[in-house]
Amino acid sequence: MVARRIALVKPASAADEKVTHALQLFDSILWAFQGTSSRTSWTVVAPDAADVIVVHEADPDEQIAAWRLQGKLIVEFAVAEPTSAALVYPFRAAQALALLERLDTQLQAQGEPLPPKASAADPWSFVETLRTIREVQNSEAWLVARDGKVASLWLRADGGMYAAEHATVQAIRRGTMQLATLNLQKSPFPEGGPTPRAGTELSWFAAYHASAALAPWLNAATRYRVTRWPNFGLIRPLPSHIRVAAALASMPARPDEIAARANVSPEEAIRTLNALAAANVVLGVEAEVVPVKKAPTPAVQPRGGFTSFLRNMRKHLGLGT
Amino acid sequence: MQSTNPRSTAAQEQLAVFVAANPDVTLALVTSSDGFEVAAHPALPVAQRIAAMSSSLQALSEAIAREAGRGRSRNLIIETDNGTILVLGIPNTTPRLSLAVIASGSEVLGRLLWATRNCCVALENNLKSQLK
Amino acid sequence: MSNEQELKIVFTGPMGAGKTTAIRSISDIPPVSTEVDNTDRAACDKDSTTVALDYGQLALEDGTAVRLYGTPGQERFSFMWEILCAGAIGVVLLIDGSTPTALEDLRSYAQVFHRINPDQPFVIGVGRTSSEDTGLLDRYAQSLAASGIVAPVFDVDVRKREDVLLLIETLLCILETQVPGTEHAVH
Repeated sequence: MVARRIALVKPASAADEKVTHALQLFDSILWAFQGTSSRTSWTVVAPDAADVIVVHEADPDEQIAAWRLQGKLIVEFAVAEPTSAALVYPFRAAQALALLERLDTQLQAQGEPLPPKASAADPWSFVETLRTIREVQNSEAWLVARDGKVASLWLRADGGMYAAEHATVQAIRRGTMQLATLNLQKSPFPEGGPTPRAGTELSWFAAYHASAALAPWLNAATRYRVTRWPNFGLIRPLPSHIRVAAALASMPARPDEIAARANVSPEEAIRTLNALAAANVVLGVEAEVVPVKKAPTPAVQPRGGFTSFLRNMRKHLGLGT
Repeated sequence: MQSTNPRSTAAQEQLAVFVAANPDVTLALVTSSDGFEVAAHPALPVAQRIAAMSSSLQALSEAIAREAGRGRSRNLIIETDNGTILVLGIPNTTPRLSLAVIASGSEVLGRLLWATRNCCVALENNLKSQLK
Repeated sequence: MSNEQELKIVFTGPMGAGKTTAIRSISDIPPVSTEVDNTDRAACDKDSTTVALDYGQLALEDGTAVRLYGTPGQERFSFMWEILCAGAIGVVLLIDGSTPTALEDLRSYAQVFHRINPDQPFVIGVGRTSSEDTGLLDRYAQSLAASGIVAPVFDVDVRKREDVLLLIETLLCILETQVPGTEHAVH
């Protein structure tokens, strides 16, 4: 168990009472967090003894700079928009805790040059955030996701739509975008911003690229089936994704059985199952014997056999494999 | 969807005359090109379905005549185990109308076709004069 | 009844949903159509309507012809649906998402075809949906699933070839994971 020390700094001068409330909120979150983690404990101490200092963004820069020079990590919070602070009051417990986790990781790596991205960040944190947001159902507000001070993408507060520059969208689809370390804050959608796209595309690819290992909420011994197809018209997945969905729609399978059923690599199979699970369309089935969708009779008998028909058809239409 | 406009009434009368003069005809109907029944005699419940099917047949026969480069389709003749079905386009009608005739086996094809063509001409004249 | 070379894909759906357009997007030959003047503008405000079938074709490299059929949309031509679907390798249902009856249409067509042939590969493309409500089609899919029909329901624009190809590719994937012999034994 690692003991971390954190200071909550009252404003230097008389300020908005919201600032005091924000500090109180943070304090209660820390108190509620005690005992819930087996890895880290956070104790509130005076600034001089602290590893992390939480301070209002309007506080004097010189003091903050002095703390930074001492190697302390600074967390700035704000009580109004617009801001580039990490936390904006009122912030949710999950946000504050995610922040503490990142700080913990950074402190672990103290002494080495700080990597711009925390390499031990939970690969599933962004996917989890998207799932939480979807339950909020607020389609009026927008959030901006920042990587440090740079705005990477905008997300509608119910997760239904997102917007990003073309290059960012490509990076998200290819998996070269670091999503785990993005900070989400309320922000109005900018005038003339990039054209919004379906949020399901973002959550699909975020989940697909998150990890080559089975997602924490899936079980290697369970047979899964697809209860309904995701809207691939909005997601525009890879052909292999469609095959996995089709395989699981026609017959339930264990994660290790999918590759053969869908004619994809084992890693493809797991990643796609993760994406389907994040899209909320899979269900574990208990029974060993489940009705199987049979091929229509008489079965298709093209010249040259079925496999070569599929190959010729895809080649003719220019479909990928 | 049989309308009660003067057009369909005129057609109705014409069909009644035709069926009376040709006792082997069991059903005669005028349909729109998009499958609606304009007039039928006798007024059988199956007429609606036959109307839709005969419009499909009319359209397909026009399509095949076109594809084959043989001009326009004039008559479609279907000979069955115990009867005959004819579908003829009624010229100079807007929208395009067809006449479908169903007859039992005893009718000689040549005679039936001749009588049906005459009915078509009569319908064309009748319906032309009904146009506003 | 399919013989060795008889391969066909059927496009169906209510009038105005884009069946003729979809076939035109991918057919190798200019489609044969049986369109006539539409006299029932109240039901659907289109100049023309298909009364028998649309016909298109894909000519594959090895000489195989895949026939593309479009059915008429209106219920009075429902006899054509069963005729055309018999032996088809798959059916594509197209729905116009901008009509107030879109969900109703989707459900009734899906149920009709599910009854005709429950195991036939079946995909649904919905066009002209509002871009704001991105969860709409998920709700449609849920509605179908509640009736025991698990079929893909995708947002598409059938004027775009790539969208029609997405539907075809999905049909092929369903076929591929269904046919015995291409799927390995499950222990």
